[in-house]
Amino acid sequence: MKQRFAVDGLGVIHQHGSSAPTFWQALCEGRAGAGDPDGIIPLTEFNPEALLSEDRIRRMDRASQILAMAVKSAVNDQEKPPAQIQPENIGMCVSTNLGSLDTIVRFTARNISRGPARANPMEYPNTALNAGTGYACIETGLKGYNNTLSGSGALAEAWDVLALKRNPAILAAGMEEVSRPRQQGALEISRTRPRPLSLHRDGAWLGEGAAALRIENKNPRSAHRAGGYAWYAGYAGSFDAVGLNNNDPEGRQLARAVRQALERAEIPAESIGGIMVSAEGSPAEDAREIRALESVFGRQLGELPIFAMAGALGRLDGAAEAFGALCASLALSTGQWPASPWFVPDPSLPKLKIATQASAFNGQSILVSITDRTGVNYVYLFEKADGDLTADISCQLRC
Amino acid sequence: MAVTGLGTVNSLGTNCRDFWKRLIAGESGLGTVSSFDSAAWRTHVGCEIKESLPESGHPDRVYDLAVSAAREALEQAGGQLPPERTAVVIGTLQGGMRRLEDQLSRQVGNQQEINPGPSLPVYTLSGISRYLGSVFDFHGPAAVPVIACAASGAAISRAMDLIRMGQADAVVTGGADAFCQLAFSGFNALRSAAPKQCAPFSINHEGLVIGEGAGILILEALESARQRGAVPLAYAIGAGLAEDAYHITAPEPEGSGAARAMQAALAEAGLEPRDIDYVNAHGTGTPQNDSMESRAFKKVFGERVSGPPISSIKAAVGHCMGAAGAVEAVASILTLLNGTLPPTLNYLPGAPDCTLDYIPNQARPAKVRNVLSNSFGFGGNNASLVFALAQDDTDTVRV
Repeated sequence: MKQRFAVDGLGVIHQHGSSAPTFWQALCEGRAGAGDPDGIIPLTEFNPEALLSEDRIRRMDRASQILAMAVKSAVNDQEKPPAQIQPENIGMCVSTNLGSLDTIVRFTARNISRGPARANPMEYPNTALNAGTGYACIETGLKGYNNTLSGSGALAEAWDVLALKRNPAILAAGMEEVSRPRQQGALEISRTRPRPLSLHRDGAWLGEGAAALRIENKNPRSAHRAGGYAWYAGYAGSFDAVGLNNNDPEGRQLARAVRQALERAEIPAESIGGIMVSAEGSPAEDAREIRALESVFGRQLGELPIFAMAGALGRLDGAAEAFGALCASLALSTGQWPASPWFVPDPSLPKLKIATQASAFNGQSILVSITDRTGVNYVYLFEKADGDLTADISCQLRC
Repeated sequence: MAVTGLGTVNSLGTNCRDFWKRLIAGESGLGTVSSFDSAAWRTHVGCEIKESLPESGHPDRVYDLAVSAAREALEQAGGQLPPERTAVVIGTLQGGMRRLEDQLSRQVGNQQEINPGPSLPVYTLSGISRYLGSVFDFHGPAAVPVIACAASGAAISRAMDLIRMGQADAVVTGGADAFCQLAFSGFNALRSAAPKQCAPFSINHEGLVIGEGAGILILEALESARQRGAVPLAYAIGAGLAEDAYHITAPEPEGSGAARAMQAALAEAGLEPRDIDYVNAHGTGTPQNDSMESRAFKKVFGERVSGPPISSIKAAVGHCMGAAGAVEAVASILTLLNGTLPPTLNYLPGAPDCTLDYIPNQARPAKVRNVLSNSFGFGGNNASLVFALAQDDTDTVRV
């Protein structure tokens, strides 16, 4: 039986905006991330005081503030107010690859150079990768199921929490921060500009920010209110297993995840209306992802609008899936497909439908492909809400 | 679902048999810290693994620990798990921190710029499941929960859900963390580290003692295990995760989050509190935890001393950080299999709120059908697991 969950609230913190509408407008205007010579797309207007309580801000590091702000925005999404669900029944799952890496390195280096007597007890809790999640819960009061993952998979876990009825509502989020240590460890940083899937692509810029989705297990027949950005339709995950930081150049496990996700969600491949891809601008990695998608979609791939998130948003690592889900939900709810600035077709890749201008989007479903050079693959599916959710609205009106 | 394999390395032993023998004999892995010179710290004791590990030479000590325990568990599970249907979910707090600390120490010593970049591929917490998946060639989802000291409790819970949801037929799950300066400094700075010994629930409790180790469980869908002729050692029948949303380090004093996690695990297991025959407590030996956890037990099991006997093995193996829940899950299942309750060492009665049966100082024979195991962590995370005896005639790992 088809299972679907409603994406009811969105929150985002990114250079392109601190609310879903402003963020989406920037993407649809084709605004590229404004970077700097180091190849980063930093948050330029970051104002935690606008949303978070002052005494907590002092205790949080910047990474935690970024996450807590996005989560709080999704909880309080003004356009789609939350259902009356007890905080004990609202869960939270967060993905972040490196979390508070800046704090971890600073704490450790100071410990080594100045001695343990100088270790700051206020700073140590922030070295745990779940610190941001903890602060976000304290800020919002959410007390349900709770997990933080290094890497990807929070959105997958959120699905299972809802499907198994552990909680009727959950916040699924992702966060990544640009920091000096992350920059020092980054591979394939573009010396020009990020142009995923494009001719002359030469790498990514590091992005930072957080995205959060409030997802609810709503029964379409007895929904308590109208609304919703999209239906979350399912997921599948796989792993290449060819080493700690390598992947299969053919993307076979990614292709398997795509097929499994479609099968489990009962969505035929031909019903997919668009794809959000992970491609970051790496010549080899971008080609791998497209090969995997082509092996599933065949010639149809050339007809589907594709949005390479990293071009406009930067490489978001653990936050990529949440940003992908956010973009998919916004594309389905607004009927607009975002622009991919600077795209020039690469003749070595199959023909791809990537536009430098925003366009109308009439598709009913979107696939989000999350994959990277470590070989971890997740595929998420979203559907347009005006099927069953419209039925909800008309039901409410009739009543 | 079935638990078909167990593996552990910790300060009491480098396999399940040695660990269990020493645990029920009332021995402790406590010793003077030797991983680094602890002279500059306030405390100088820890529960390190002094003997050679079965596996070594992997990119970081945490990988040595995880691969050692996983190999033992997989050998016990026997046969070949289906590669594309086997997931890996491992919890950790610190990942490859030893590698990062070594590099930063060299840079500080050589007065070089702090640059963690080269260590990041090994340090990154998400690497641990990827590494195990690659070593053993498993292509199911790879995930790494990082909710501090509850990380491996969350990992086992997540593993159960992956099987329930049909995302995997088998999961290699558990946790691993190596002894490192980060946690030692952090808990010293917080004044939570005990100067002499760990004494959970005891009038003389002064804090925790850092440990290291790994615990691995092979979880399988029962039908899948039977098809390949594997013998279930125990059943994983319930899991509950809940959040305090109270404070980033301190537990909610009344234990309501911990109680909700236990109640959720019991509900999922379909058990009443009276059905639990033994509780393996989080029992860190800090006054805050011991008081809170005892209050939580009273919420769940009532005020009666005749409730289930409870013990903490942290006085014996130390606090293994993100691996604690997994090492303790292994101990809980060995308790089921051997009909012996492990003791709480160093126990003296009289601590505030700690008025229950903590199995003081000596192991106790008992008929055990169902056990509950708790893990709590910074960020307000609470995880509880319930395991049940599979059959009476299993003697595979009895000692």
